[in-house]
Amino acid sequence: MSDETPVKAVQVKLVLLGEAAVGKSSLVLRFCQGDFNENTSPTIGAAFLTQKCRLENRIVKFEIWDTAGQERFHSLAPMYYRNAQAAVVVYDITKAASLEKAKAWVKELQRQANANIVIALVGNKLDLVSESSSTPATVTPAAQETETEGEDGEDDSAEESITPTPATESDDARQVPTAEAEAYAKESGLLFFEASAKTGHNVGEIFTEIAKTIPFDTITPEPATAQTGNRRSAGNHENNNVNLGEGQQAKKGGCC
Amino acid sequence: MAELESDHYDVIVIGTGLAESIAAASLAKAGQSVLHLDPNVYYGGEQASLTLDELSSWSNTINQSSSSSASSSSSCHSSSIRYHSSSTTPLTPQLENDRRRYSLSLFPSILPSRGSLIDTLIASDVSKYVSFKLLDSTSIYAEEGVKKVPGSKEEIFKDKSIGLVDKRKLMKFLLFATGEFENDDLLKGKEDQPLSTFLQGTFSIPQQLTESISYAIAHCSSPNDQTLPALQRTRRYLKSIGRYGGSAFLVGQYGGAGEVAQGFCRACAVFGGTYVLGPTAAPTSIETTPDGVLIQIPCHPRPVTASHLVSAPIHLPPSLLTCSNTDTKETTSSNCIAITATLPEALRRRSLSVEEDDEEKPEPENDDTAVIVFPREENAVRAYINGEGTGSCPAGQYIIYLSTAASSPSTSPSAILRPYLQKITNEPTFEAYYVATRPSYDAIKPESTGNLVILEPYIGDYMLTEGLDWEAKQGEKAYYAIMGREGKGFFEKDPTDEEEMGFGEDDL
Repeated sequence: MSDETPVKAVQVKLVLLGEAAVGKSSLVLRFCQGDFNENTSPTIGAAFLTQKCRLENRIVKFEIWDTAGQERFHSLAPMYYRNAQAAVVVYDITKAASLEKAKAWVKELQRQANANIVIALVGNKLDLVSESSSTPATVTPAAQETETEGEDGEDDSAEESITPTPATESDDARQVPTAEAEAYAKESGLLFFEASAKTGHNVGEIFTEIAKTIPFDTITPEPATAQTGNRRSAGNHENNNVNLGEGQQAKKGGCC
Repeated sequence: MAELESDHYDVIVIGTGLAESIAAASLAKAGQSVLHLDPNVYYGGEQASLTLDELSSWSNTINQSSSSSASSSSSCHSSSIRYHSSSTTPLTPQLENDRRRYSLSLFPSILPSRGSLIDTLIASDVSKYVSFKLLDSTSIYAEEGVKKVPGSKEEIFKDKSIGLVDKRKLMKFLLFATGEFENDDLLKGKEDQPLSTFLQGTFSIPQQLTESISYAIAHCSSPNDQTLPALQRTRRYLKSIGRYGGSAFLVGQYGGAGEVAQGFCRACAVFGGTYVLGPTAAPTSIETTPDGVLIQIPCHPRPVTASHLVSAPIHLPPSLLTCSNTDTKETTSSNCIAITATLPEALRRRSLSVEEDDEEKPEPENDDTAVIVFPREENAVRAYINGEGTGSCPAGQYIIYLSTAASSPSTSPSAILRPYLQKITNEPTFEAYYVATRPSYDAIKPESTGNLVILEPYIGDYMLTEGLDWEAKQGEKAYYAIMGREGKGFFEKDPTDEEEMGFGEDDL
């Protein structure tokens, strides 16, 4: 909540996509929690979280939209994709089918979203297959992860507890070879990461890399990202969007 | 195919129109488990904003269904809005290529800055998902061309075309219209007079100005509209001025109503609502049971029960609709949705007959949105224009909505409206026409019973300025029909609520 920085933040809408239970919400919660103390647990059911990412020359403020479960029956509204400048498409490296789903989401993004959207493909749950085979990769992490699952909550916890990952041979859990996913990402022009929401491994890197990749200089400010019209950053030319909630700013402390 | 997580929900909502979506979001917020279905593949129902290809197929569908259902005219069929007589011009390769960049509204409307929907948007925090701009101008079309109408006291002061004496009369009227006029002696006995008669008789306002007031301030469909309701609208619109800027009205981006409906659906999902759209969400049977309702849907292998069902009449089987079988009076409106790539003259910004200032000024930016009224013998034709700033079409293009209450159902909508379209643009790149038939106010009053909450579609002549608030009121009504008046209020915030719809607001 430090206000002293003189650098203006650029706001970026980032959408999450991927099959249920791959850990979309956990990745974001990990990313957003990284910056502040562990106890402020964010509200379950938040529609979007925000988190800042500092680069050398600018601050990028991510407004991160979760699917709120609307991906389950493919009922995500066009509003979801509208003006998204970045997307994180998540799959679970211990479930081959989830990569296929991720590919379908990438296609959907190419159909629905801005042409110049930056897409990162993220294989989550790296902790379950960690090379350092000493990592206990079973019930405990699964339980912890579902704890931080937001909207995906119930569904996920059910699935994850029903299908406990094989314990001893941790690398057996991997169903998606790194090389395969990476090759797909490369040919489709996506950023690629394997990460663990549980340990935090590589999570910050995803967002930093996205922030670096977004072509800010060529982006023309889109009208729809400007709900807070009067307070828009200076880089965007003045538009006359109306802030409906004015006079309603009695906010309790934000989390990020 | 995935199946639903449960065989039972507190509430099933059918249709994702604005009222349904508001009801769904408010109920989910209050802790109800909500299953929200829509047989359409798109969100928004009657309020949908469609892409160009979706609009074309919508147009085809309504023609097919209107010809097939003509014979099976159950008496209750008429409790829903029906669309027919539609036609569209073919898509050029350019339009075909850009088809997804258009948001074309089936419910073109502007939002008064004070009213139910604004209140609901703010209370629910859905205002964070949707964005609005101020309406740039309201004009009346006269023989010499389009004339902008001053909408506020300030603009009237500045307007050189109105004489000093008339200005004083006008001010006197505006003061009256913003007050508690219901019991004012000036109005007594004249509530049902035509507004123009009242303005001329009681306030000695000249005829030309009565037209401006009727069309561009009270948003009447004719100067002969009844005085009292027209005054009540006027009061609300006048009080809307200044809340967010000089205009009383806001324009929703990306097609307006449909986008707002999506925002409420998202809010519902965030509070745990389940969404299924498309053919697998079309109930194959709906019946009431002692405990609620039971439906069969293709997306679930077993019947689904709920304590309550919320729906517009259109999705309900006739057996569930109790209709008063009076003569069904219907109102029909002719509608046009057109696209042009040339600036409509009405949007060109000229200095409003104020003194010219000699300073070098950059060319003023042209308007992006406008309402233009074409007075007619009977009901006026109203045009509503959305430019690129609304996010509803590609840069340099404009969407033109035209609508009028049609007097003769036999005349095709294009025959009625194309002449007016041509006054706005000679070069439309796309035109779609259709007729909407709505049941009249008193013909059908679908009865909501304990477990079944029926939403009433908007059926008046003032959809442009009143339709959105009507939907919000219907949504709120459905909420209280299910939750009762004693408990938590509509979108009432818990004192302990953290910022639910997103937090970490601008802290820079």
